[in-house]
Amino acid sequence: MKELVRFENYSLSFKTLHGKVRALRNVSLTIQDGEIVALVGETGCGKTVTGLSIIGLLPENAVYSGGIFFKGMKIDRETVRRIRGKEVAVVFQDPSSSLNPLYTVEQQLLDVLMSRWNMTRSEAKERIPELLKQVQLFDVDRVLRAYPHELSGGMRQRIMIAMALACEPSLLIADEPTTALDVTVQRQILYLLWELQRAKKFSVLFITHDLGIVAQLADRIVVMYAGSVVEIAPKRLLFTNPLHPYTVGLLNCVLDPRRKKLPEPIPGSLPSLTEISSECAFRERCGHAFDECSISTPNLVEAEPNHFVSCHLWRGQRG
Amino acid sequence: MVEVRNLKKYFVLRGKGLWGKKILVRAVDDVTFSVQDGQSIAIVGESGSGKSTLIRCINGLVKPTSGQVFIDGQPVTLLKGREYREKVAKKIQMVFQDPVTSLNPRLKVFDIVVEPVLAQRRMRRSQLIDLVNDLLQKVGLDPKLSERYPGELSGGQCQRVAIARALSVQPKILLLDEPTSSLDVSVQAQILRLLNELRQNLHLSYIFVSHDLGVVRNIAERVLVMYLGKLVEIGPTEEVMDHPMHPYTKLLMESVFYPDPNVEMRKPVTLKESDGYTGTGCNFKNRCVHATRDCEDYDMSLIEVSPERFVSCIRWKEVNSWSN
Repeated sequence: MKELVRFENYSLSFKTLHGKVRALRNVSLTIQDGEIVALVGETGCGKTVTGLSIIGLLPENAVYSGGIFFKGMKIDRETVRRIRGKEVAVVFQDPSSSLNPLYTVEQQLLDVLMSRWNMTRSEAKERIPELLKQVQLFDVDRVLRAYPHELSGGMRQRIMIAMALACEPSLLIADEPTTALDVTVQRQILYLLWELQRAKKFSVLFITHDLGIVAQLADRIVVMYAGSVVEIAPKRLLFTNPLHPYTVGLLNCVLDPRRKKLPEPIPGSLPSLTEISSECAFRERCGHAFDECSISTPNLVEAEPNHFVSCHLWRGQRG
Repeated sequence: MVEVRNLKKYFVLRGKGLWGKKILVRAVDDVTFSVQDGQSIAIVGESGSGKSTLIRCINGLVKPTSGQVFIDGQPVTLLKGREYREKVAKKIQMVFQDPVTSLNPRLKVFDIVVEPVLAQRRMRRSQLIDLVNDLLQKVGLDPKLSERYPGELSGGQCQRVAIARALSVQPKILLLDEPTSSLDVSVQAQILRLLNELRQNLHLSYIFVSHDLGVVRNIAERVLVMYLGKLVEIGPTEEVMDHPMHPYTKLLMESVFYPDPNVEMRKPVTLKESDGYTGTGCNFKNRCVHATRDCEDYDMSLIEVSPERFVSCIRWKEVNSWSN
């Protein structure tokens, strides 16, 4: 498998009136060709900005160091234009706010096709029915004439996926694409995404907080906490042999609808992102913290083949 | 202790345009159930199924179109003023979905927590301080937080404040409208633990609305499944979740993702999306794979299939023998 995206010691902070908010700290990860990587973590752990960093959709006050490489090319202000909306497409969380309420669905699909492929209007029109059928929307005429508010949430999200796929991207970033939807619709949308991915072999960066979805959808899982990557592992390994104390805690919080078992909460709450400096961010909530943890941030090390963890404890055990 | 009898709430909507036809939305349509002392029930269903409207009818936030709600045997629908406070507000309190918007941003935690008490009766300042300290400790918050504003607290802390406020009048029943759905999993776990503890210590009953079946399994003894305003299935949580009988409950259970990497991604049953209320007959018939002509005239009354277990499907026998 070829490497598609690589984050190399990528750090990101936002300058605000209350000081520097360190949104991402030394993030290193890769996305291979044709795999589904899930980025999981809680609110504020930096999973969404990780996705946005790839396509350069960051606010003015963002300061970053380190680099992101797409097919070996470093992404910066100039090169990002070559990939955004072409090689990389995004499906956001809320389909109603990512479609333009003033234009019909047809117009918005035409815009994508015409700008991506330099098609004429009539060429683009011919492509549209096929795109909609791909996302299981069969009532083509009605959907095309509709404005976004006339469609259900599930239909809107299908249209977002159709727009993303119209770009024929090599990477699809899906940022909590089904959080706003009902469970029955969620299952349909995710199955659709999974099926399309299997057929077209694009890579997916799937951002979510729902470990239930991840367990069935992802190939590899990246766990983030307070702006750092704490663990990376293939799906099965992460669930059966989690190494980082945060991952263990997170898995204990997850509810399984098949059995009754009260979750075991992780004590404490998230640290403030302005105050983190050089220590391990999970130190204060971790039952295993020792001296080393307040001195330096652990590096991501390969604990077993393909399984990376950033925890002093782990290195301690080994040595 | 709480009894809901033939409760209906219809809303009238305008169709397209200025002169559009009136559309009747049956948000809650002929719902009957009861909750015993100390019992916890969950109402599940998709958005628009009427579950929030239903619990809002119980405490009078929404005026029902017809039907009655009884609390401790007394009818309480449409009560106002003093009588409402005596018969409803003292006994039932509510915790809302989004803790941040359900707390007044301009009041301190202290004032938020004592507000329901002061609506009931007067109390001395010193008594109030004791009360607040006690309540905040009960919900696992530092009493020092009472001088803070909600904006200074995290989502989990805000939800604890909302629970403290609800407990301030020592109610017997809490109405919980998706109390953890806007929280992160680790915080959700804390709140669920708290709710479980409180229930045991204070002998509370919960009427719980949720779409998260993992939460439901952990907190409720009985489940009511709603679909477009109608109850489609009632039963003990384990039985309903392990052996759903109504085609809609089956669909719901099949849609859930389990946090287990050994479960393979499977093809969902392809159904049409919900097209709203269909007029006559079974609500679910247009999406149901088992629907026949009989479903056109079925009024969706609940059928007792075993003790404590009710299903509103006229073909429940066929549906369940077919799938086994």
